[in-house]
Amino acid sequence: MEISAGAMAEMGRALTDTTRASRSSQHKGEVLRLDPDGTIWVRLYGGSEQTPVKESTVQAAPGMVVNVTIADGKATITGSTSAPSISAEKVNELMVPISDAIQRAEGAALVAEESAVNAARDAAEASRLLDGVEEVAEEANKTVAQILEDAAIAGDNAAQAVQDAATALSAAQDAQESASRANTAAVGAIAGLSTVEDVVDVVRWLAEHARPTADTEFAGGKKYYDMIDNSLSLVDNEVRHEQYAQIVDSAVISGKVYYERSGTGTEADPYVYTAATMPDPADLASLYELVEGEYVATEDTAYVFGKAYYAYESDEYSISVELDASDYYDKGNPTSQGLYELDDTVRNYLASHIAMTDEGLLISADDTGYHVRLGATGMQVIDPYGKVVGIHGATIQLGSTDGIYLEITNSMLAFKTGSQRMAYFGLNENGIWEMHIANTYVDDMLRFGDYAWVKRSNGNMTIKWLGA
Amino acid sequence: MASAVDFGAGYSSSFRLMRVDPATWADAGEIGGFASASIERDRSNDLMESGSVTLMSNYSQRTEFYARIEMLAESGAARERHAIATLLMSPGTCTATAGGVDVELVGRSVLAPASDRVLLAGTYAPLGCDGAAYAVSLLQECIPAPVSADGSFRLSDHVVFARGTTYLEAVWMLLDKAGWAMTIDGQGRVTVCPMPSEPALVLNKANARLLGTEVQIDDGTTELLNRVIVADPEHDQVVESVDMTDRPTSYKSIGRYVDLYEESPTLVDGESLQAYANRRLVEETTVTGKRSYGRKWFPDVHPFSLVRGSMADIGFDGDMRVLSQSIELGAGAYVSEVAEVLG
Repeated sequence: MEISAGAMAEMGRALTDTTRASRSSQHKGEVLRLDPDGTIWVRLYGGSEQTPVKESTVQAAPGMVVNVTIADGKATITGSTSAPSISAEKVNELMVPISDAIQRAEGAALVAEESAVNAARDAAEASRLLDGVEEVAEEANKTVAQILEDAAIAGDNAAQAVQDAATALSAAQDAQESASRANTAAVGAIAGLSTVEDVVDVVRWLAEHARPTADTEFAGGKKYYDMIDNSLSLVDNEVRHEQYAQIVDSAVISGKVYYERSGTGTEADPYVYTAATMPDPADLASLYELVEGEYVATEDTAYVFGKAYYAYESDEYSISVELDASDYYDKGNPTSQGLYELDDTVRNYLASHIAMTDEGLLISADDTGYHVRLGATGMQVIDPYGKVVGIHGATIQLGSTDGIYLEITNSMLAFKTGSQRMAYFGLNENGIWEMHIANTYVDDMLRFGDYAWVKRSNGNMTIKWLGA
Repeated sequence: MASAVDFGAGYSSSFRLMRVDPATWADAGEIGGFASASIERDRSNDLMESGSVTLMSNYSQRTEFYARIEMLAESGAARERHAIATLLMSPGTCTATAGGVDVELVGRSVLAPASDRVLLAGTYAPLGCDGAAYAVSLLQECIPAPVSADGSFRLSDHVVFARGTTYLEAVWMLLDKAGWAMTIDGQGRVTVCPMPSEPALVLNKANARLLGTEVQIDDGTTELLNRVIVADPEHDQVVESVDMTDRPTSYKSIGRYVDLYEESPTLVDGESLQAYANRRLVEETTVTGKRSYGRKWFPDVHPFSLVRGSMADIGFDGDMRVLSQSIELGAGAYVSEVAEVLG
């Protein structure tokens, strides 16, 4: 299609003249993945399963919870609830301990300077008086008493000088310590901006599933949370990695998730663990289970604000007294401090009753009952022995295909064995509705159009015309 | 469509209202008592058209339904049926008078169902897809009227829809990005298409009788403005537009500056502050001429259609793009039209 120059100009004008007011909206969402072309895919809460984002004001990473603005047909990440470093408010908050430490350092430095000046002045005075004593002694024009008095004064001044020098030294040490604390707090605050990202999901979950702790002392490896401004903040955050161990169970434990391992464990082909469906007891030795995370030696060169560090003593990990460098939390009685801990009830229940498998989402109500699997063909009901005994999808199936089962489609109701129909009612292959059954027992009447086989009162059978 | 009826020469007309089967989009019986109707069309309105029909009958309908207004035009031996408009009718209001009962049915555009449904926030038209086909699919999901695309265009980026965006708004977002149009014909068939470049109606000396007696000429108001100053305090930037034109209001012409000041503008598609200032000057000083006129009804002329005039003596000359229409049906079919002068 060829378009004239006039029409082109008009098209451009039309684009501005008729530009309609487009909507804009703000969202929260979770980063799903990052494409090599820079596209960030986000699942919007209450919105689309995946939305492409081209621009971001934060360094997005999978799992990060972000703020997304949609306007003019474009989605933009404008911040992260897990990286509040972007907000000036948060930065100001983090700057408070830094400013305090700097102020303390400056104050101590001033005291040190003043004391040093005093010390120097006193020392000079002492020196001057001692010089005078020497002169007097040499000239022998003064009495011994005068000499002794001058000497005593000089001694006092010297002692004062020593004391001032000690004060100056102490103040200087205070200044050095405060400066060090300020530096540590600053480093911690900066690092904290990124570490917050790692715990946001936990905190988000905890916001709904936390309870006041009843512990009277901190338990090693357990997480505690503080309630700040109606939101939970992680007090300690141990470093964990998922670990799988080979199964030692002698029998399959119902409700426990067993994993199959693939891969060779090399960098090119790492191990991948997949939840096994209905594991065979004979295969137990080749399966794995998820075990607790491990502790690793920290590589931090400075304390990270909000991060917990643990000491290793007597084969146990216990949380270090130095929870963080800014002294926001001291180790003590967490209950009296009003801290919170993870309520594992819901998580444990979900972990033992829901499993993602290759065949779909598996849900079990209790250890010995039936399971439901949401899979590609619909909802499957699985008996405690792992047999599919019902399917509800486009086709409804009641009973296991091992024996006789009922199958319902939109045009057929059939009792089947394998693929063979034993009896059925519905639309046959020729497009005719029919009922096919081996034996039929009729109590009173069997009708064919206007005629019917009717049982008479004397017990005989007759064909009767019923009328049009 | 070639027509045997000469709409300029005078013809007899009768109208009827036909119920439309939404499944087949074909006529499904007449609704009797048609008295008059009016249709409003406007390209700046997302729904594009609306209307009302007055029936002299005791017609009662509890739910909405689709109806088509048809005209039977006769001129000599020529006899043609033309669909004027197809609308989604709401249950009418009934007025009893000494002369009988009048029912007024209010009609919405066939696009209305697409403006009644919202997309899930974050739904997007993917980069590289056929934007026209995507727009068609959005409409087909909502409206029973036939929808088609006359051509295709590729999206150069994902187009993401915000919370509360209706299907129809999403369609217009896609079309606006490509500079495309959408038309609804009398049968209620929807077509997404490039901006028409061939005239749907030519008004010249030969068929001057189609045109009414009065043409209102509006050559646009020339804004007394020749410089746009844009400031971006956040980045400590201030720029002035560069006037490359030689308009009567330019600095070169009047020897003084007339400024428009804007702050913290919204830049489009990565344009610079300077480009924004230049664009705004062009937008603010572009003169748009319009013609408002009455004419007799002619087939297939809708908003976005091109009307070509060659009657310079009455100021009706050159290509014009139809902006809006008002059609009155009763004693004949008459159109009041506003068109934008191109070029």
